[in-house]
Amino acid sequence: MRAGEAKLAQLFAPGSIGKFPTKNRIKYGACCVSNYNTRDGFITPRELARTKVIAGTGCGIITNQGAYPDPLGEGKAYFRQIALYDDKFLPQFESIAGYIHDAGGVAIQQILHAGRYGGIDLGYCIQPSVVPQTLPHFRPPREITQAQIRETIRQHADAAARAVRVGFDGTEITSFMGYLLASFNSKFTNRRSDEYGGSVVNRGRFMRELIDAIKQATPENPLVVRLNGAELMDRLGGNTEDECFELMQQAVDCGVDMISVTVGWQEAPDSSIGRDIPPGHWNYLSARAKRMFPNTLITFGNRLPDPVMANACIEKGEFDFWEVCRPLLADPELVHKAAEDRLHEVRRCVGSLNCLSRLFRDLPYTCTMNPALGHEVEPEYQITPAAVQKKIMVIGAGPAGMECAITAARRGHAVTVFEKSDHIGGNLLGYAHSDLARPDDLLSVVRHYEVMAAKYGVEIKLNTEANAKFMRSILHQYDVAVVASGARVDRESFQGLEGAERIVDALDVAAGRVEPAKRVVVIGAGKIGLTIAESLRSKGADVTLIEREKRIAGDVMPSFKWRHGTWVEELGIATLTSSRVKKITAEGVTVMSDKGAESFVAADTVIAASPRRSNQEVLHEFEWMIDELHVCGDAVAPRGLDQAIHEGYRLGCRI
Amino acid sequence: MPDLRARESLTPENGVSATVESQFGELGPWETALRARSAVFSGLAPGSRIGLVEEAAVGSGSEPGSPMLIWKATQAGIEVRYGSFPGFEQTDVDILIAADAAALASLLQALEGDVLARMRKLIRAGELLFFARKSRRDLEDAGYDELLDQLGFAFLGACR
Repeated sequence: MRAGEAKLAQLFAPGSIGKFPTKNRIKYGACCVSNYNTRDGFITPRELARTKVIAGTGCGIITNQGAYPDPLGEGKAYFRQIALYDDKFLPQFESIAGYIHDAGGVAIQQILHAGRYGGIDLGYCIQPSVVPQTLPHFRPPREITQAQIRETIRQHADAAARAVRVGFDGTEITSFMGYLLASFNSKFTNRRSDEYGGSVVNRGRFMRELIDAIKQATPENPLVVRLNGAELMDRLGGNTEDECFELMQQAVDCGVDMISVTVGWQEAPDSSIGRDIPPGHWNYLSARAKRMFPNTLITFGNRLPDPVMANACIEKGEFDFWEVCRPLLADPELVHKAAEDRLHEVRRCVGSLNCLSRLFRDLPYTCTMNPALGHEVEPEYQITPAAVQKKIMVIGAGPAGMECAITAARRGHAVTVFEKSDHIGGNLLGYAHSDLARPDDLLSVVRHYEVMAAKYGVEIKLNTEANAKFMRSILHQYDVAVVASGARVDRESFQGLEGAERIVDALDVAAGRVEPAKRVVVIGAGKIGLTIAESLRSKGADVTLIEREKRIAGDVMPSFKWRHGTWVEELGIATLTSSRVKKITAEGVTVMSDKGAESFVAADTVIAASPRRSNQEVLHEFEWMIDELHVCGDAVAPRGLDQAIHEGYRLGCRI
Repeated sequence: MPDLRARESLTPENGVSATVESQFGELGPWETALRARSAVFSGLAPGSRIGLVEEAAVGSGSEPGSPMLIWKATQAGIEVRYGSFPGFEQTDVDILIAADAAALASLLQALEGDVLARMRKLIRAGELLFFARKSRRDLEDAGYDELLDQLGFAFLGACR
């Protein structure tokens, strides 16, 4: 037994599902459709390469992403979702089941009919009743007929039988996030007056018939059903938590083998899995399920990213299997690191929801923290031994520089990072400390770099500014220079502005180098300006945001824009959009709107968060001083964490 | 089956009841409030329609024919009129907003201020239901982006 397995004895205890033994109590959840496949549902080499990584995560149960079961594509929710309505799709499913078995996992295939979120290639979607969606993203609904209900159930059973035929050990159906099964169960979307609507018993009829049909089609194989412990739709007329658990009871009574307790719908007005929800917040739902259904396996993992917490939950009897996905996107080695007592090396999911933001743009999912995700099939993204060992200097210890340094060091290069401040992490550190959602998530990125730099022998020289003079002093000592010096607020853009000398830099405020007064104006309502404004306002300052664009949060991840919008409103931060600063005095700021209207905002401190400008000066200075000169991250163009990490990694793989 | 959409021309002149007016208020203040935010509606294709109903009209077991306040985009700007809601399947509004009595009262109070900002708050709080009757692409093609943004739908797709 490995050291971590002894420490997390519950998590690594063998278990079983149906007749299949599992090596531990960890289930890889089908949390994300990848969008890596063909438009007509065939699995691609890109997907197969990704699935090999998933199979190798070390989970006892691996759930393959949801396949739609109908030839029309009414169940298809995502642009490049896989299909399972015909035998023609099976060879690749067989490969995936093989990968999972080779890695010692139990293979479960999810069948996902998206219902109200489906019909992505059609002009409509189907659901129990015509209740339009509350987000402007989906297809207009049509009511499913009883004949279509019967056909849909048959399609699910056929798809399950196909999956089992090519080697999957069991199947899973899902009512997560408002899909077809959820829309039958919920009184918000099920307004039918026939035997499939009305009471909880009637609303659950579709689910019971579905379970029954799949169990008949695959009697020897376990069936998992994902059911909401909370829809978070009750304010919109959806099910209460009590009704959710009544529906779980029905599933248990039908002999389902495992219930995956989930939280929220896509349309829910409340957050369920974002960075603003503290880990463990929803555990009470699985605990209730386990209390109510002691003889049915319960799996759970919503906003529960930590194996130590999961181990404790199993010990307390709150669930039987930890269902995890997103943390394994960020670090596919998570389970192995836990087993080997190397949790300090884990690269945490920071809950940026980049993965989902991309899905809703019909793009393949990627991960902020794991640049190789989705590129497993490409040798260019793999860490391979360097053909020639080089001495590399990296200028800047922000995410781009550290990512590049560690990746290059893993390939055998000798790497030294030069950082002008007294810490690594760059501007991310100040940004993290101002973050209202969960600073620890962002700080974990910096901690991870500290650990990995030490592990791979990256030398870090703090308080060392790598300018031309310094470069001359170390001439010919390095083969490669990587400029990862980030970006700064562009003070030059304020030249000529009356009172510009009164402006302070947002990053100086974030880093604690400048203490703002009570009345504050922040210029720029992008992510830096918003974060600073929210932080200062929450500490009691009177804050006004001034933004040139029509809208705030222009550079914020789509899935997080709403959170900033809400904070700005909840905290009472005044925002002046389509506006620019005309004059700054000791009394405040004169603002001019695009329409020429002038206004005055009283302020003691004026903070500039934008525009930003790349720190590229050394690029020209170093050009004739070193063999190879590269640049990455915000030093290329000011953007954000995602691009910094990804560019640093790619460059580290390439040098 | 009677053409329920024809009833959407219900006006005070042709028989709107005092109840409808007490529910949704007079048309004039609505039109003034919306025209004060004309930039939000200026991109809308003429004929685009937004409906506002009481929440009971879209609840389980509701019957067609509940009163509806309609904002209609015209060349001259937004026109507001009374109509009736024929049910989700029959209605031809592009966006339907459903408010309970408290939310409706809150909107009426906001008519002298920024009614769209109030709507955004109520939607965020789950006190106002928003139903999209067209896909995102169709709504964008019809010029709804600015209104959707004002109502807090800059993020398309949640799963958050």
